[in-house]
Amino acid sequence: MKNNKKVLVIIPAYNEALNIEKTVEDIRKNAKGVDYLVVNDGSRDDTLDVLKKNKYNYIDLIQNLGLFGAVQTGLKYAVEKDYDVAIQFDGDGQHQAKYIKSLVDEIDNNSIVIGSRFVTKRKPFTMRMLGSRLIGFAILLVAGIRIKDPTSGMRAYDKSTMADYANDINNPPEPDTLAYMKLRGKKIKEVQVEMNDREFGESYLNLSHTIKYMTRMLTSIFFIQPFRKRK
Amino acid sequence: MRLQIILIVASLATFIYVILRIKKHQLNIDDSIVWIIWSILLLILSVFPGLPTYLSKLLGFESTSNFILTGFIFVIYIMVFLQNIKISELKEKNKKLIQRLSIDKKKEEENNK
Repeated sequence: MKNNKKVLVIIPAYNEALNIEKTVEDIRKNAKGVDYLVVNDGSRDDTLDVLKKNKYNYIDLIQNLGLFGAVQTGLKYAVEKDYDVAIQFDGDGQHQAKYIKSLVDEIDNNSIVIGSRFVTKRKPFTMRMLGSRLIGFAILLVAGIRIKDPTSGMRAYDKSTMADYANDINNPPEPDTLAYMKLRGKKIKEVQVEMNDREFGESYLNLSHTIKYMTRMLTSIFFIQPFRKRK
Repeated sequence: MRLQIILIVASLATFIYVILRIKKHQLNIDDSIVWIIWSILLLILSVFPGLPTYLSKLLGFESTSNFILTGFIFVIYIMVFLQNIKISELKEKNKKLIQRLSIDKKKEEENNK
């Protein structure tokens, strides 16, 4: 990869025994020259066995921490191992490794690069995308940046941003922190990617979870992020 | 008068209860200070009922019981919020510990290769 940057792809995995092999093999095959790290977030299925059997590179969390804690563990590892770029990548087969290169290519001039479904493609008017629009609009109002796919979980961070996400207690890898990073003057860019639908396992998208998520995001973007310290 | 005695007994009981918990090592001294001060305050209020009546008039409450209830609820709010902060801190420390242990375990395995 360009300039011999050290790139670490962080794959949080919670009960992903059925998807994780495909995800890692995809990265090995379609994103040559990058390292990957699976963070097993206390899975209760055979995820750990699959990781061991294939001799994958992984961290096994001794307790379940949730998505935030799992990604953050990977970021801490990346900081300590002196990586230049860290990429957050879903373990459930939604993200495609062939787009990793385009994220890395853009990181030279940006702090955060988002793998976005809607840079060149139009966002469909579905209920699911209504939430995405609301969050996008909130970020636009507060931080003055139009992010077309704020809920995308495929993101690349440069070295200093990586450390911010690794060490701050209030920087979960969620859309609300994008507003904060923009307010702090970090450059954020989106590149077009495609995503797959989940093949196995259930996603979190039920009504009560969606309401909780939206309430948390909007409250955070409007009432918390603008008032945080911008060192 | 009877109410006053009940209040005095209740505040003394609170005080003794807190002290006993400390003796049994269920509560550390730092966390108990606020409860001890609180029970002493209750005791003062029940021994001198004129005091809350005076304060309540001074602040413009219609009745002393309103003043007492408002005051107590306010104190409880603060206590709950402070506990919430403590819980956040504990969660964060707990998370850091889990991450540190897990990363170190990983690094150890790398070094043994």
